[in-house]
Amino acid sequence: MDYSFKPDGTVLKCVMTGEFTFTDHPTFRNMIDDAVKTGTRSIQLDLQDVEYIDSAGLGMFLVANERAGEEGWKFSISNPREKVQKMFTLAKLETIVTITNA
Amino acid sequence: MPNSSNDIAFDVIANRQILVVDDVKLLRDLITSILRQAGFTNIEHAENGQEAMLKVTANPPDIIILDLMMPIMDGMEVCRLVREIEDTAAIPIIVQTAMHDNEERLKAFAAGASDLVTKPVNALELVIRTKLHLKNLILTENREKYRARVADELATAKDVQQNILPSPQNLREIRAQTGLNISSVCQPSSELGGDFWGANVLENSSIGFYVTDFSGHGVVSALNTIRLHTLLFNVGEAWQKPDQLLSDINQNLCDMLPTGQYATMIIGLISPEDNTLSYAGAAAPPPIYGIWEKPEEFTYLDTTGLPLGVSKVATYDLQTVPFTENHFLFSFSDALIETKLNDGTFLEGEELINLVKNLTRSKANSQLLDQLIASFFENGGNDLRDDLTAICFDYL
Repeated sequence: MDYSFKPDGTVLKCVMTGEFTFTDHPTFRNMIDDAVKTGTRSIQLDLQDVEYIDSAGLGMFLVANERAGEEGWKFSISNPREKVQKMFTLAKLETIVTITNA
Repeated sequence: MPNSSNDIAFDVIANRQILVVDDVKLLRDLITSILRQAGFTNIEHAENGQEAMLKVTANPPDIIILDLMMPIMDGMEVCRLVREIEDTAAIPIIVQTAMHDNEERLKAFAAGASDLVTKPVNALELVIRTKLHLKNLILTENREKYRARVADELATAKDVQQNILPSPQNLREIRAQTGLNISSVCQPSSELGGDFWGANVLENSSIGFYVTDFSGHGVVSALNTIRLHTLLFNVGEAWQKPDQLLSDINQNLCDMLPTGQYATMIIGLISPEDNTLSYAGAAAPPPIYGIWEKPEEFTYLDTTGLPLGVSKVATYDLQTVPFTENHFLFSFSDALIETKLNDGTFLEGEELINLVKNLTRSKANSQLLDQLIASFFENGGNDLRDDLTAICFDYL
């Protein structure tokens, strides 16, 4: 997984690309750390270019979501592709994390 | 375990075998005396390359100190040969060369020298380099021992994990008691994984079963499967209420697991008496369900639900569908649908349903599971990232 930051108004978008799996754990943690350090109150993961997420990837979203609650910033996910959206739907992720298509 | 060669005491390397190869006796004796004075005790000699190779292949030394210009076989050739033989390829070779001859020094490295010492020999330099290479050798050996031990332990852990799965004997007993036939395939990936499943006969001859997969891979998932297995062990008649059992397990896992670790699961109850299948799902891959003779009605069951261990307020719905002697249920772990095949596609959605249709052709097929998995592997599914579990329930 690769990523880049794209500020969008008050939201800091993290545009992720490639596959997001078990081995991306350190990369993802660094990404969230760096995003939080910018001082933004809202972090959105853009999944437009993410082809595949495994179960560990979904787990990392849950961890980030919990951290957002503890630290008082807003966590959301946007633009999942069909295959990724299917996985989110099966796991009812939208009941835990805000998922938008914008 | 020491992490640097500085952490290794000299007495660990003092009696490692050093082979000194030089055609001039005076120089062999000089090098030997330098090494002995430094404390090394196990020093062998060879007068030329050929004799060196005989000794190296018969009883590989731990390090070679090698002259280049020798009769019969020179030092460059020794370097090349030692590197070519698998058993000796890693032996450090310190070559003696003249300081000013740059071309020769480069050639020596190209031939396979690990390091160079100047000629005429400088005692201190020779001792320092010999110590350094022997200590590095010890570090490498330690790491290899550690790697081998971990690999061995992981293999044992994998066995333990495989042992919690129902045995063929268990499945024969279930069939004898209830008429239900359960066939299964469990193909472990190279790593430890988080898949497992189980089935139990209840007092009224119903069969409770579950298929589950822990998030992630490796040791953490594997340990979690054992926790979950314990939660499901001897729950007795709790199987009669799959939704309630799933909720209970969720509550327990929420207490046990850190955020980010979770399990997906389906718990089902097949009643031969009522001809029904009741089930509750927590994000398990939807299984395929149908009547053998009615392929147009093959469908995925709804297993939508929050994964277990994520939220205590999660609720799980009970669903009930007919399950007669003409029905089958095909359940599987996500490795089946998430493994990229040779043609770049995935065996998911309509593709998977169509494969089941092609393998059954409106008729019951007791070999469905084996044939489906064989087809999956033929099309490139053997590059598994995760364990593959597939289970077929029927009355054939």
